[in-house]
Amino acid sequence: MLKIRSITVSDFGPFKGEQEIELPKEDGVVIVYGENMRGKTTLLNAIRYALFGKVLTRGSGEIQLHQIGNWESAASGKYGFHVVLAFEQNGDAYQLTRECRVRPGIARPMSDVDYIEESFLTKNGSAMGPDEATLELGRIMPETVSRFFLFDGELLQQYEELLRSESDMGRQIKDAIERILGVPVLTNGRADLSQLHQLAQYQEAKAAQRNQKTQQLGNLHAELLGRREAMQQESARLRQDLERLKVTKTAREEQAKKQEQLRALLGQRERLQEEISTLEAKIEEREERRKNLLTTAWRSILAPKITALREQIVGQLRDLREQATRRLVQVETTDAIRRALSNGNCSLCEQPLTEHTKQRLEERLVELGSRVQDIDFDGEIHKLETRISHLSQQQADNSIAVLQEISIAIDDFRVTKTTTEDRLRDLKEQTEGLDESELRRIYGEYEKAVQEIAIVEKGLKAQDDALATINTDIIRIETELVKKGGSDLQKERKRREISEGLRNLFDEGVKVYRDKLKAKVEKDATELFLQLTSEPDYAGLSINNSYGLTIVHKDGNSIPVRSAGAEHVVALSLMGSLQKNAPLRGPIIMDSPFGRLDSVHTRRVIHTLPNMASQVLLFVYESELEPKLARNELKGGLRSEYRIVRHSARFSTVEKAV
Amino acid sequence: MDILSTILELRQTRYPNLPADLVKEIVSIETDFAEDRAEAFKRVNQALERHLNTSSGNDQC
Repeated sequence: MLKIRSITVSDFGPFKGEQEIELPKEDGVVIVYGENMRGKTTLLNAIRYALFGKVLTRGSGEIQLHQIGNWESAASGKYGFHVVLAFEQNGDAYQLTRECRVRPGIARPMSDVDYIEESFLTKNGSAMGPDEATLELGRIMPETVSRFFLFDGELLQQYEELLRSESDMGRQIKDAIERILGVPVLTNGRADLSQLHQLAQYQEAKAAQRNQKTQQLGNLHAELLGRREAMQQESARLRQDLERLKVTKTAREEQAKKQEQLRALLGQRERLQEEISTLEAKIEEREERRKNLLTTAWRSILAPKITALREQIVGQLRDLREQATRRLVQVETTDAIRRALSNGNCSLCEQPLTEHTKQRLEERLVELGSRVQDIDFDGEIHKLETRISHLSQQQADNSIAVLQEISIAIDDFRVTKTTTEDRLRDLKEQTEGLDESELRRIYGEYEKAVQEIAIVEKGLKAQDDALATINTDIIRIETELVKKGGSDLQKERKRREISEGLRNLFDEGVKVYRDKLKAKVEKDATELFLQLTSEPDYAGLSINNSYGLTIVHKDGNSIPVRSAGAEHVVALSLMGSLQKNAPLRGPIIMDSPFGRLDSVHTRRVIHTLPNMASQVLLFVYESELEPKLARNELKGGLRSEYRIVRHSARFSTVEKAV
Repeated sequence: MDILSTILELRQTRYPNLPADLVKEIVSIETDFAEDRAEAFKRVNQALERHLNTSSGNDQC
C-alpha cells in the first residue's frame, strides 16, 4: 500500500521558495485549508507532477511547464521549479524528485523548450536507474488509475458517464476501474496465452510438415492457420471500426441532444416574441381607449352637477305625472256631473235628482271648471324623460373607474412585456449562432453511423461464423495429427494443449472475476452510500456492466435522474468501494470535494472518510468544510491541519496549523 | 478480492490438469508487468517453455 510521507514544492505555482507538507505515519486524515486562488489545486498538481510529469487544469487539459514556475521568483531571475515526494510502499521508503530547470545558455526562458526536465527515484536510499524507476513507478501508481487517488471533487460528476453505454468518457473510466481492480492481470494473461496458443499451433503444423507421414496434414494445418490469422485480423479491424462508429454515434447523439435543447430554446424564443407582439397590441388598444376617454374626461368635472340636475328633473317628472292623473280624474268627474244635470237622473243609481242636489252639482261643476288648466302633460312628460336619458348617458360615459381600470391594465401589460423581453434577451444569448443546418448535419452523420454499424455488425457476424467453421476444421486436423503423429510431435502438441488450456482458464477467469468484482463493488458501494446519504427511502445502489451505479429506492425502483449532490455521493461511494477491492491501494487526495454537498452530507462524508482509505489528504476552503466540524467528526482520525497563507497574489506559503 | 484465488479455484474445478504453479507464475508476471506488455509476454513464454522442458515425457500437465 502506497503511503505518502511528505510533499515538498519549490517555486511551484504560487509557492515561492521551498514549502513542505508532512503526512504522519498513522492512518487518518490531513486537511489543508486555503481560500480560492491560494494554491490548493496547485498542491494536488504538484503530486501529479512528481508522479507523472503532468500538471492539469480543472478541465483536465495539460498546462505548459513554462507557466508553472513561481512568478515572483521568475521576476527576480530565478526560473524553474521542483517537487519532492517521499512515500512508502510495502515497507520500502522511496523519494521521488522531479525538477524542471532552465537549459544552459538560456537567460530568459520563453517556452517549454527552454527547460530540461529530470526525475530521480531512490529506494531505501539507493538511486534507481531511469528505466528501473519508470517500471517501479508504473507498478506503484500507474497513471491510468490515478483518477481514483488524485481527484478534483468538481469532476466527480464524470462518473455518471458510466451509466451511458458507448460513451467515450464512460469507456475510459470503465477501463480505469478495471485497471485498479486488477482485471488486466487476467485480460493481458488471456491475450498473451492466446498468442502463445496460436504460435504453438504453427509450431505443431511445422513439425508435422517435416514428417513424411504427417506432411499432408501439416500443410493443410498451416494453410488453415494462415487463413484463420487473416480472418482474425479482419475481425479485429472490423471490431475497431465498430468501436469507432459506436463512439461517433454516441458523440452525435450527445451533440443532437444539445442541439435539441437549443432548438427547444429557439421555439421558446419564438413564443416569447409572439407574446411580446400580443402584449404590444393589447397595450396599443387600451391606450387608444384611454385616449378616447380622456377627450371627454372634462365631463367628469360636471358629474356631481349632472347627478343633481338629473335628480331634480326626476322629481319634476314625478310631480307632472301626479298632476296628469289628477287632471284625468277631474275631467271624468266633470263629464259625469254634466251628464246627470242634463238627464236629471243620477249617473250611478239612475234615481231622479232633487233640486237641492242639482244646485249642489252645479256649484261643484263651477268649482271643478276653475281648477282645470290647459297643460300638454304627455308632451311635458316626454321632454323630461328625454332629458333624464341624456343626463344618465353623460354620467355613464364619464366613469373615472373605467379610466383607472384601463390604466392599471396598461401598466400590467407593460410589466409583463418587460419581463418577457428580459427572458427573450437571455434566450437570444443562449441561442446565438444556432444553425439549423448544423442540426441536419449532425442527424445526417448519426444516421450514417447507425447504417454503417448495421453493415459492420453483419460483416462481423459473417466473419465470426467463418472463424467458427475454420476453428472446427483446425481442431479436426489437430485430432488427426494426434492420431498419426509420432514422438517428434509430442512436445509441440503438449505446448499447444497447455497453452490452449491456460487461455481457456484465463478467459473464464476474466468472466468469473468480473462478476465477483461487480457484486463486491455493488455491495461495498451500497454500504458506503447508505452511510453517506441522508435519504431514508434509498435502499442502495445497483451496478451495471460498466460499473455505473444507480440509486435504488426501497420500493425496488431505480431513481433515473439525480442531482449534482447525489451524483457526488454516488461517486464517493464508488471511490470508497474501489479502494476496498483494489489490489492497488493508496491515499485518497481530494481537491474541493464538498462544494456540491449540503452540511448534512458533508458531515456524513467527513465521518466516513477514514473508512474509505487509510490515508486521506483534503484540500478545502473553510466555508466548504469548517475546521470545527472536521475536528468534531474526525476526532483522533484528524492527524494534522495545514493552512495556505497568502502573502501576495503570486506568493503563498503552507503553514502547519497549531 | 483476490485474483489469484479466483483463478486457482477455477483451475481446480474446471481445469485440474493444468499445473497450479504455472498458473500462479503467469498471474504473478501479469501483475508485476501490467505496464510493460512486451516484457510480460516474454516472461509468460519463458515460463511455459520452462514448464514444458521440466515436464517433458510426461503427458500429464
